[in-house]
Parts: sequence; C-alpha cells; structure tokens
Amino acid sequence: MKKKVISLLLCAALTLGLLAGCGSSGAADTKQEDQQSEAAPESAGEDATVAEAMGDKLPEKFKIGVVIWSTVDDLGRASAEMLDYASDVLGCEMVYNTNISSPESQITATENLIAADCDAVAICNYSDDILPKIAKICEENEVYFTLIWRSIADPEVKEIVESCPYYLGNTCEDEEKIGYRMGKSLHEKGCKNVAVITMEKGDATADARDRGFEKACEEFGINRISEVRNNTLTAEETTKAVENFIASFPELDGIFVIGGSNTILEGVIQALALHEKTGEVKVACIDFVSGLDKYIEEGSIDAISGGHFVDPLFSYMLMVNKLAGTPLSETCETVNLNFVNLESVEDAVNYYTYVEGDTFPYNEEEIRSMVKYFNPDMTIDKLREIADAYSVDDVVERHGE
Amino acid sequence: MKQKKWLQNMIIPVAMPLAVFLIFFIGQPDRFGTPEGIRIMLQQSVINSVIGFGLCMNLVIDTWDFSAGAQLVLAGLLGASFAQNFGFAGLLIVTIFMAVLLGTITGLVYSVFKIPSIIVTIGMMLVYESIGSLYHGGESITISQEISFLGKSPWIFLAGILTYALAYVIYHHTKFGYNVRAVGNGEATAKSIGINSIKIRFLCFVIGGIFVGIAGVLQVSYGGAIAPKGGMNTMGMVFPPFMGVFIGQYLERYCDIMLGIFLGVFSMTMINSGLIAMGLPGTLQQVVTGCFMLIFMAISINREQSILKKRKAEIV
Repeated sequence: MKKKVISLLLCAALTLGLLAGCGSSGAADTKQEDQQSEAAPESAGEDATVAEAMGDKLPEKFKIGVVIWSTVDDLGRASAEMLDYASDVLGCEMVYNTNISSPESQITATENLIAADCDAVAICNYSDDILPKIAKICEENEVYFTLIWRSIADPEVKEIVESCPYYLGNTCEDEEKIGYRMGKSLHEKGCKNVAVITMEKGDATADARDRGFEKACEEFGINRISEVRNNTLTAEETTKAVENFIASFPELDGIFVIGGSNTILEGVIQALALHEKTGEVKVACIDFVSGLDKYIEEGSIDAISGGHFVDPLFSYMLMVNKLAGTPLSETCETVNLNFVNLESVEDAVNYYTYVEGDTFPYNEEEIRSMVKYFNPDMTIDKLREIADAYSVDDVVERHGE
Repeated sequence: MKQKKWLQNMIIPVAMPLAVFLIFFIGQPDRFGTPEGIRIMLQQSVINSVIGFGLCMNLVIDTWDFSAGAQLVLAGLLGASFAQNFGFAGLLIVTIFMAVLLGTITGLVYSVFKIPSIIVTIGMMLVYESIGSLYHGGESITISQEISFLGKSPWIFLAGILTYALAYVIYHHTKFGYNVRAVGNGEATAKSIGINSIKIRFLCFVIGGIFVGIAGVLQVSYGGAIAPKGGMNTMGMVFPPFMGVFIGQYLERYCDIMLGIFLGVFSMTMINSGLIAMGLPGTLQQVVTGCFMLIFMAISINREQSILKKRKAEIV
C-alpha cells in the first residue's frame, strides 16, 4: 500500500513537472493560426471564387505517410510542421513513422504506414538498396510513393524504381554542390587545415556532401586533417570531438560540419568558445539551427546553408495532385530545391521572420495554388519554378511588409 | 610479500592507461600527450566517470540500467528549461531532483513487478525518451555561457572530485554500500544475514539517479545545449560508462572501484583522442575502439577464470 501511494505521488510529480514545460507545444498551432489569419485577407480576392467553386478542401481526406528519421530535431520538426500546415489547408491527414534505425527498418516503416491505410507515402531513404523492395511493396498495395531529400544514385536501382507505376518522383538538393560550396567558402576564408564532423559511411546525403567537400579540398589544396563519424552526436560529444581536434592539431583553422542539426553545431560553437578559438577556427555548416542570427553576429559561424525543410512539400504536392485525380505528370518527376545560404545577420533575421519562424514560407493561398484541383493552371514546370525560386529573398518578396 | 602486493596495487591500475598513453604518444609524439591535450582528456573523462559511479552500484549486484542515458537527457532537458528562468540553481536542483525521481520510478517498477532489469530499464528508457521528445515541443535547449561555467576547467574537475568523494563514501562507508557489496558477493548469503535484497536493488536505482543527475548538470554545462534523443539512441550513452565500470570491477582487487572506473573511462577517452590525433578515418576509429573493448574483456575474463582454476587446484 505504502509503495502504491509513493508510486502515485511520484507519477503525479513527474506529470506536473512535464506539464509545466509543455507550454511551447502550442507554438505550431499558433503559427498556423497566425498564417491563416494573415492569409485570409490576401486570399479574399480571386481565391474566394476558386474556394466557392471547388470548396476549401480536397474532395477526399487523403492520408499521407512519411518515413522520416525524426520530427523533433530542427530539420525534421520544421518539415513536419510545414506538411501538417499544408495538410490542414488541403484537408489531408499526415502520419509520421520515425521508428527507423537502419535502411532495412525503413522497409518495415513503409509497410506499417501502408497497413495504417495511407494513400501515399514519402520516404527519406538512407540507402538506394531498399528502394526496389519498397517499390514492390507499394505496387502490390497500390500505394503511391515519393522520395524526399533524396535522388537515386544507383542507375540499376533507378531503372527499377522508375519503372514502378506507383513511383511519382522525388525532391532533392544538390548535396555534392553544397559540400563543394562549403569547402570553397572555407578556402576563401583562408582555411588550410580542416577537420570534418560527419555521419557514418552509407548515409547517401552525408556521403554526397562529403564527396563535394573532398572535391573542393583537392581543388583548393585544403588538408583534411581529421574527422569524426557518428550518426547520433550530442552537443557534449561534439564538444569533445572539437576539443580533441584542438588538442591534437594546433594548426586547425577550419571545421566543416556536414549536418549541424540536433545540437551538433551548438557543441562546436561551445567548444571553440571554451578554448577562446571563436573566429580563429572558421566553421562551415550545413543545416540550420535556431539562433543563427546571434551566432553570425558573434562570428561563431562563417558559412552556413540549409533551409531545405520545405523539400517534402514538393513531393507531397506530387502525391496530393495524383490522389486528387489531377496529376501534374504522367511519369515520375524530379523537383530540385535550392539550399538557402545565410551570409549576414540581416539574412538570418529575415529567415526567421519570414521562412522558418512564426510563419511558413508558403501561405494558404500559395499552397492551394500548387494543387491542380484548385488551380487548373498548375503544371509540373510551375511547381519546379516555385522550388527553383525558393530563397530568403523570394519569401521576403512574397510575404514581406 | 606485503611490499610486492603494494607494488602490484600501485602498478596494475595505472598499467592500462599508461600503455594506451605510450602507444599513442610513440605513434604521434607531436600531436598526442601535450599538457593541454592531457588536461582536455581528463576533463572529458569526468562526465562518463560520474555516470559510471551511478551505474556501478547496479552492476555490482548484476542489475543492468540501460535507462540511465534517457534519465540524463530528460532530467537535463527539464533542468536546462528551468535554467532559462532560475539560472544555475534551476539547472542544478531540477536536473538532480528529476534524475533521482526517474531513478526512483525505474527502481519501483523493477522491484514491484520483479521483471528482469534489462527489460525494465529498456522499457523505461523508451518511456523517458518519448517524454523527452514531447517535452518543450521536442526542441533542443541552449543555456547561456554564464550558467555553463561548471562545464569548464577548473569547475568540472572540482565537481568530479567531489562526486568521486561522494561515491567513495557511499560505497565504502555507509550501511547501504556494505549491503550492496554483500548482495553483489552472493544474494542468498546476503539474504541469510537479513539483508533485504529487493530494497537494496531499489535503492541502487535511487542512488544511481543522484550521479546521473550530477552528470546531467555537467553534460548540459559542457555541451552548452541539450536535445531530446529517440529511437533508443540514449542507450549508446551508457556504453562508455559501462566499459569504465567493467574495468573498475576488474581493477577492484588492486584499487578502489571508483578509481578503477575513472581509470577505465580515462583509457577509453585516450583511445578516442589518440585515434583522432593519428588522423584515422572515422570508421576505422570505431573498429579500433571495438577491438580494444573485446581484447580487454577477453583478457580479464580469461584471467579471472585461470585464477579461479588455480585456487580450485590449490584447495584440492
């Protein structure tokens, strides 16, 4: 009896403690409400006629599944919020499966989403090797699928997947190019001895970024002095890694972070601050985290690219258009998205104000216009143009005061 | 004979870290083993050693706690969150209190339901990871430089020394520590002399929580930020301290177990640092670390077995 009472008291204390801190979970909802109220007057004109004719939502509530590593880190969360918002606008439902630890588990995750009655699935695949199997499963179950943040590098796999009638296409960024760009930026800032913080071999994105960086190293004579490979780095582990670089390589003048989300970038900045090396050791990073304006102002970051959280939105549009009976194309399509490069404090402030802050980069009207059901003029080329134009300036131009 | 034993007790505990140090120092004399490098390695060993002190009590009585990493992350997230409003006091008090609370809950589930510790702690780890992901919208929390002073030298060393003293006193100079060692040496015998082993096992989780909480404070201060972890990723956080405890248990016959844990963790830190200094590719670094673990375990287990055989033969 005593034990039961203690257990109940402890559980109550834990629940109260958690409730006290869960206040921010409503942020996404507020964000949506703000965006909707903002968008309302804009869409009052021509969109009202479309809405009157077609209704605000799609004819059916389509269920879209997403196989993604996480929806709680900076990139994963921003993407999930964007997709949730688009689904609210269009009247769809989102289901996320983050229970993935290996490429093989992504097959199971896809099967689970299909079993959960999803009409289409978007997959961020860790490896090309799993795609033929996924294509087969989707074909057997007559479920459409797309890839997000990924392109198929293996020509054999590409041929198999593209021959599947249920494969609608992919959205991807030029990962190799961004790796090269980061290497070039470090070179331009005078770096000669650079350490790399990356993921374990086999991760398609990290490998492509690494290839690009290697290319830059060869071209500009950068010496890649050491590296740390870990898929699950924390701020503390990253701080340790950077301290080791500093202790072992006094000549270190640059650090390239291949994927900076999940407090990895914060760990790098903390380590450099601990050893008073901020500004002396240049930092180039891919993936955005919060507070970049402060870091750029302090000189803690020298080159940063990211903002590709909108990537899944374009694959989502390929799926939604197909499911609504208004496909943008009869074949599978690739949509290329640009990385956003922040070069000044002003860029960062604008990014948080208009792109990934209290608002979304595409408002209600713009999201609806990407669907042929609401906007008969929409084509795959127009969708590509929207993706191609994506940048801070583009969003400021559309939504800026 | 006494002098020989004293020498043995002095030499064997430092032999492994010394051997590791020499291997890398000879390989990379310019890059490894500089005074600054040694200070950094010592500093990096503090957090895992503190986690190891907490896990040690459980491992001595053959109880595995895989939830310690998740406890640390959840308590750290709550502490970092409170630090935004209440500064360092918020971080310190909330993190330690929450870690003890989570340790108590794990201990209660374990002792009430009597499920094997591996299953209970993996289950609780998943629960804590999920709560951590839900808390604060799953966002990472960064603390200001002023609050994070405990992650810097000399404060981190002071915290490490005080925690070591606390672990030493609890393990060697309290009734609880005596009972832990008694249960560890044989549960049936301990029960026969009136020790309530279930209560001891529960208390090990609670006491372990104190050390996990301290490690949480140090980790948030050292990294300057903390993020929720999911998908059993927190399990990886307990392996380096586990390794330290295994080494500590092996060295226990020559020195204090807590000192052994620190020496074990320090050796592992030197390996990580040394491999980076040698400029080995990341994949190879993991291979070398894995091989070191296997070689150490193979040597220590086989040596123990040969000692047991030798003793048996002597008795016969």
